[in-house]
Amino acid sequence: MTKTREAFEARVQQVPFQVGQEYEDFLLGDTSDGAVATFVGRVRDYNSGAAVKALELEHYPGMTEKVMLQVLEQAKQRWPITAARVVHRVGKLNPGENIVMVLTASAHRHAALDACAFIMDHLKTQATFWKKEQTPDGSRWVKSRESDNSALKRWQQPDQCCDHSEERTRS
Amino acid sequence: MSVTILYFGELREQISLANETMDIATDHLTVDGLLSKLIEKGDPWSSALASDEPLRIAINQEMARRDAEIPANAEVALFRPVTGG
Repeated sequence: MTKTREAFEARVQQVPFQVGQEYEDFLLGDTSDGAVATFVGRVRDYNSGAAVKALELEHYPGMTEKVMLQVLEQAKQRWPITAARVVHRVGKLNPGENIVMVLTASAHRHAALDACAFIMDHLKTQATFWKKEQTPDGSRWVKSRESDNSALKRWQQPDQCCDHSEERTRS
Repeated sequence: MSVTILYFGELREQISLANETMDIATDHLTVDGLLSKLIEKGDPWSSALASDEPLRIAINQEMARRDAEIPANAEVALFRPVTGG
């Protein structure tokens, strides 16, 4: 039996993910998508004026996966994407480690790129994850940022940048 | 009615509790009503929940407002704004 890919998938895991392996697995058996957009978020060694030694990530099991799938569904309603995936890690992470990966596939690039950014902006503000940073002065919970909320606003207006009607008729 | 309350992140640490179940003698309970009951318990609930820090609420894993009605046997999660990604 040929293994087919899971078209819309949201995963939370402790173990590291391999970017190349996720990409290959995401595209398994697919020959119709001409565009794949990927985003990888990593642990930065510096935040809000302090060195970050490590990051502790926790989440709300059950709700997190549900929210992430809802975000993928919203992206699917809005752009002609054929597949989308989010992989998000929890637990203790060191600087340079990957935290999150978003993949989107479509016949053409604009849908894949826009959907990828849309998913990431919504995850940042809606998915139930919390970060705690370890700094030389002790540990602190990361506060939400106003810039993350304002990033959402650009998706509240109807699309001004691209007309996807051509992509829909072609795919 | 019985309500299970879950605490995440900073709130879980401040209250030193990941979850608790409360029996409340009423048929109509809003989020605000539940918060008042929790604050009445005194510290650490009062200092964590009566602060000006933004509070987010989910009822049965759906985001909810403070005036939302809580159904019987609901799971109510309390947490600060999310910071994933």
